[in-house]
Amino acid sequence: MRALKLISLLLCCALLCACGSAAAPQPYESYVYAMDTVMTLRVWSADAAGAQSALSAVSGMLSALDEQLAVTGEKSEIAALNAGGHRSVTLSAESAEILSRMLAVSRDTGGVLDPSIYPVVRAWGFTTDSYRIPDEAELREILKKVDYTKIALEGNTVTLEPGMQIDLGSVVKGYAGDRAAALLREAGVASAVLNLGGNVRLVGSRPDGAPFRVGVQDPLDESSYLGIVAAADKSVVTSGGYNRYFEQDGRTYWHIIDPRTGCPADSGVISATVIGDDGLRCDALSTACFILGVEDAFAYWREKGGFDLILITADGHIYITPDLADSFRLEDAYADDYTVEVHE
Amino acid sequence: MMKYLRSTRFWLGAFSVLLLLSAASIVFMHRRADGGTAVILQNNREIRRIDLSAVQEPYTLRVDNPEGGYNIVLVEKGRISVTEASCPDKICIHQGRISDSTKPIVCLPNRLMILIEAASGSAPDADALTS
Repeated sequence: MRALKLISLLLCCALLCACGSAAAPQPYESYVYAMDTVMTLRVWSADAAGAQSALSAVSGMLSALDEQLAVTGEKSEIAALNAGGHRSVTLSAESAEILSRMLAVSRDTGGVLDPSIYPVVRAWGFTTDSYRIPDEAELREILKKVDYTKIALEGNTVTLEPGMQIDLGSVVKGYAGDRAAALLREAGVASAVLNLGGNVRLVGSRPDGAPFRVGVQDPLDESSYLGIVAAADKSVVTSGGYNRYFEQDGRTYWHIIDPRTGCPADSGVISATVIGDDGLRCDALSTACFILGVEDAFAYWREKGGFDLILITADGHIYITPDLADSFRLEDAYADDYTVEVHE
Repeated sequence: MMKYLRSTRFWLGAFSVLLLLSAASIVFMHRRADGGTAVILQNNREIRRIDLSAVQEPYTLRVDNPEGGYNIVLVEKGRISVTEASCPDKICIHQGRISDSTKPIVCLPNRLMILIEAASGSAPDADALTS
């Protein structure tokens, strides 16, 4: 009798568990072409209509932000600024704030992140895919127009020196991720993964409460990831030379340009991942750390903090900040090629 | 006593049946996730949906871009890839075969995207890829 009662009780529990899992939040997905890339938006919700309307609000916001901040396009405030017809251009409050926050990182990092690097990126052909190697004299001439300290921002009004052009591309996706996360939270979504072209924004954690698992791409093989970092409610942003590059005479030239030389960054870092709460800052710092290299990037991290780092070098080292010691795991297949080192 | 026993047995039986049913439905849901469904989108619009677990023999299909250009898609059991394309960069071909929802195949020039739907109930190795 006792046994029968016990079995009934167990069966009841099992049944309740089964019912519980059936009512669990379901995934909903949406895809957007914006900012020159494909964005995957995945949310979990128990409310189908609510999830769909939140996704379409985010899609609309992303497209609008793209039009507003792209370097080309009739509606772009940045294109209008770069056209140079006016001495000064008044930006929307939002665009001005993005520029202002990017300039703050420029100042912080000694100018390795510089919105005015755009004419150099263009000279290398990275904006049009018609790649070329500019000669030294040409680079010297263009570099005269690269100087973030000459971007005058007063209130929402920007004034550039003649010939200067800016691009907010290295922070826009990070900022967009933050805005998307805020929109989703307002709509009551507690769990989401937004992949804005490799720039990942996590909202909450997985529906089962476990942290999300974000794969860090193998810089030498686009089809696989070499490690996984577990994170919740964070931005995870990577800058890699592999995203846009060309090869000439056996050398690789990538699109991340060091403003100090006008040439592709050559710090030994081939992939820089920054993890933190502030997507715009993570985006900005992933580019900056790629250019700074291991020692200077970690020196910056020690000084400022508030984020975590995964730096992969060409000589097979992966340097991580101490807080990632437990949350970053190298895939077994890469154990022979890379060593993970906690750097302080 | 007999009455009580009978009623306990009754409930035991009823719950067993319900439990079996719910277990069967869970197994069924998970089986659907196995292999995955590939979705082909053009210009953000779904144009084709393929159950990759049901593919017997590999085959190719051609997707034409209304504005010119094309992609040849290879459909195999459990995976899908682009083998030929009119675009200049061939990034879609270099993205290789995909077999899970971690990363879609994208051809920006032809506004084509191929992805494998995230199956509910399945536990992917990675929820997203940072690159």
